[in-house]
Formats: sequence, structure tokens, C-alpha cells
Amino acid sequence: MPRLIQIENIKTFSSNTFRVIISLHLLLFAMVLLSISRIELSLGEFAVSKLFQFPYVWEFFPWVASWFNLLLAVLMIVLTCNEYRYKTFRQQVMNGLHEGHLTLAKAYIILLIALYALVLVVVSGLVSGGMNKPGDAEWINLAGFQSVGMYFVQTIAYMTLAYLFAVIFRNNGLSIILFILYLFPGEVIIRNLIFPSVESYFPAKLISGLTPFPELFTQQLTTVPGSNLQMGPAAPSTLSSGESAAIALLYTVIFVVISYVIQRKRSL
Amino acid sequence: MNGLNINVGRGHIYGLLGPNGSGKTTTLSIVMGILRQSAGEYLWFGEKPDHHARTRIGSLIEEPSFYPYLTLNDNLRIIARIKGISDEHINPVLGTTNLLKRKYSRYRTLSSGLKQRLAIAATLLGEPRVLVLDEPTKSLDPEGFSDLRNIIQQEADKGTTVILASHILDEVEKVCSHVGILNAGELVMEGKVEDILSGKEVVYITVENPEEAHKVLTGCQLIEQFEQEKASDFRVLLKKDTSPSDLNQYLFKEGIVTSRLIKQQNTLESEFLELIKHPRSGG
Repeated sequence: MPRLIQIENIKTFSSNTFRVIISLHLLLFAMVLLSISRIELSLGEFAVSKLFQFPYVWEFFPWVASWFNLLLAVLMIVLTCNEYRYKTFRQQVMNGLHEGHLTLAKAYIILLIALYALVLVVVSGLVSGGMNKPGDAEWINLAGFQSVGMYFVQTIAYMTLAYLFAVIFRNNGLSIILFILYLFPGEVIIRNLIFPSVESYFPAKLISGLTPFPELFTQQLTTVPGSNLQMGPAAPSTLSSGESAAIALLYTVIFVVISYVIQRKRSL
Repeated sequence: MNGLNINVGRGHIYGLLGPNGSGKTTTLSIVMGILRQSAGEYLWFGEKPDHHARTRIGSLIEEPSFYPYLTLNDNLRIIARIKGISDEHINPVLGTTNLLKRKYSRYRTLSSGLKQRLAIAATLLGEPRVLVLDEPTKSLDPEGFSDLRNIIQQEADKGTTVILASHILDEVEKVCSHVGILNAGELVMEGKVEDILSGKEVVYITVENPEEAHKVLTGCQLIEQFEQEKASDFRVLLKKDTSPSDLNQYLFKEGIVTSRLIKQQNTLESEFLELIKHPRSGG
């Protein structure tokens, strides 16, 4: 494993694609938060500024960060499809790697990128919460921090699904387009037309549901006097957050196993 | 592939020859684990192959495959990690292939000839026990040809086994100790190069009495086979240890007058072309 990590580090950190997309991800996340923070909106007890305070920050920041999971998924597709394009997967097998090593190496990269995203959310949450805390509030409040963990699982699951698409189609453009089309409207159609009774268990729906619209945010809005908002708490899901995370992790394992089997069976 | 059965001994320089589409690259791809065979098996170093065995093999099949955005050094570092060797091995192989000055150049800035040199350098990393080279002279200039020949010879002198697929028959003849000739997925001949070249000869004869000549050649024990190409012209494959003069004396004794007898120049190329045009049992 240490050798695989060294190999992936050499390949990945020198890639302009990797650097640009990660930079873009960081920039977009920061700029969106900055833009939202500039909105001065107060309705009764609700204020946009509260979203940047503890403990609401732990639901709000992962939710915003989840908007950019597609970027990270596309990055995984590009990093993987390029290995087929350059025929480097093939050469590495000839040089002495096992096909399983190829999957393991990319799993390391998925974990690394997910850790980066996690650290980004945690650090920005701590900074925002610390800077915006009211005078008498605790310095740090981790209530609702499990949402950050859900976001971490979500990021890993999305990137693993993207990796599977890349292994199947081996072409950047085709993999990206089909991946996006699967997320929408592909799986939506399958769920609603063919399997409506088990739609909660489909991968894209389940994974996207790991970072729902912040509940605390909607609760605050319903307390606004005279508000005609009917949002209220989110519609009860058939699955608890723990169950959803567990199934998402199971899907991750399934995607990895399928990817490995495909790489093992198909000629490079 | 059709019943292919090849055995490459340790220390051999084995040339795999064949026309386009004969199965050379397919064969090498299968034994290097990147193509799944539908039937049959192969062994490396006398054992069932696994990825560990491939770390002791330096291979170049079809195009060189490197990361275009990485430097030569970084590309070779990746291979060094895979083979479990240190970066100290990189400079010597770059030196052998005259690429040391370009060590920190990005791969995409290299010409096709230099890319091929890097691919050859990569095969030498870690002092492999076997080199598997598919068309290694592609894109190389004459100096590159000569350097490659020297590299192969040096490796063979060290005891490295070399399997070389090539169309450049002249080079194969100079470098290889053994050769296998493929045609349409079948091994049509295999053996030592010196045996193939010094073995059976082909002669072209023109006779004055072709009907008689046909009868005489049919019963002749000195020849493998013959073919009547034109009215009075015959192409005759002699048996091993039979010389053209032996045939001439025999025909004369049988009353066949030959007005022309030409021996085909005995090169690997001529043998190869003969086998492809006129397949005979072998392998």
C-alpha cells in the first residue's frame, strides 16, 4: 500500500487537471458562502447570518459543499479515464501491478479528495462559527456535527460511483455525460416509473439525501409570524440518517467491487 | 491463435516473426497479462504467472505508455515503485539510452524517437530477467537501431532472456539466437536461427523437358517439395544436407537437362517469405 500511495501522489499532484479542479472547488465553495453571507435578511427570529453561526453552520456548510460534489466526481472520472487514454493502467499491470492495485490506488485518491473536502468544511465551519458567535455563546458548539460526517460519506459515495462509470466507459466525455444523465433524469425515471415503492433505496437518491436541506433553517422560517411558508420540517424519510449512511457505504463497497471485477475480466 | 506452443529458454534471444495480423502482439499481450486468452495457459519462470513475476520482466508492447504531463524522471519513478526498486536505478538506464540530459523534460515534449528510447529505458529498470519487446525499433533512427542492438546483446550477455517481435528481419537475423515464425495465429516454424538459415535451400530451375522433369521430381528423395511455376520453370525445396549440385547431378543422371539453376539467397527474410507464401509443416 505505501508504494501505491507514492505512485498515486506522483501522478495526481502533478496533474494540472487535479490542481485546477481542486482550486476551482475551493474557490467556488468560498465564493458561494461569501455571497450568501452578504445577504442581509432577517424575518423574525430568522436571519441569514445565523447560518454562519454554531451550531447551524454544521448543517448549512455541508449542504452548500454538496452542491459541488459533481465537480469532484468529474475529477475522478478524468483521472481514471486518462489512465485508459494514456494506456498507463495497461503498462502498470505489465510492470507488475495487480488489477486490484489499480482499484485500490484510486480508492486512496477518492479518500484523499474526500478528506480534503471534509477538512475544508470543518475548517471553514470552525472559522465562520468562531468569527460570528454572539457574545455570550460557547466558543465552539458541535451540535449537529454528524451532518459533516454524512457529507464525508456522500462525497466518497459520489466519487466511487463516478469511478465505476469511468471504468465501464473508459472515455472522459462519455463517462461524464452518462454519469450526469444517470443522476438526472436517468435514475429519477427508473425510480418513478419502474420501482416507485423502493425509490428511497436507489443510489443517487439515497446519496443525495445524506445532506438534506438544513432542518434548523426550515424550523426557523416556520416561526416567522404571518409567514405563508409551508415548509416546516422535511417530509419524514423512510430511512434514518444512520441507515442512509450505512446503505451509502454499502453502495460504495458494491461500486468498488464491480469496478474491480470489470478491470479483472476485461482486457486492458 | 491456433494451437500456439512456444518454449523460450533462459538466455535465448527469441525473435517472434510474422506478417501483420499473424498474432505476435496478441501473443505478447496475453503473456504479459493484459489480454485474456480464451483457452490455454502459460508459465513464467516455470510457474503460474502472477503480478510478482511481471516485476522481473521489462516489457514494451505497441505504443510507449507514459504520463505526458510528467517528466521522464517521474515516469520512471512510478515504474521503480511498482518494481520495488530505488530511484538510483533511473540514471543508469537513462544513460544507456542517451536520455540523461532530458531527465527533467516532460514526456510530451519528446519526439517519437526519444519516446521510444524512454520506453526501452523503462524496460531495463530493475535489471529484469526477461525483456519482452514488440517492434522496439519503431521510430528509431539508425543510431537508435544500433544502440538497441547493443543493448539487447549486452543484456543477453548478462543472461537476460529477450523476446523480440519485429518486422525488421535483417535485425532479427543479426541479433536473435532463436526464432519463431507465426502466420495466421499458427506457429509455422521454430528453431535456432543458424539451423533455419543453414538448413533447407530453395532453388529455381529451368528445364528443357518439363513433363519428364515433373515425373522425376515427384519421385526424388533429395527434395521436400516442388512447384511448377511456369511451363519450364520449377521451384524446388531441397531437403536439409542436400546441395543444389546434388540435385543437378541427380537430374542429369535421370536425363533432365537444366538450362538454369539459381539458388535463392539464404537469409531469414527469404525463409520468412517462403514460409508465408508456401506454408509447410513446422513449429
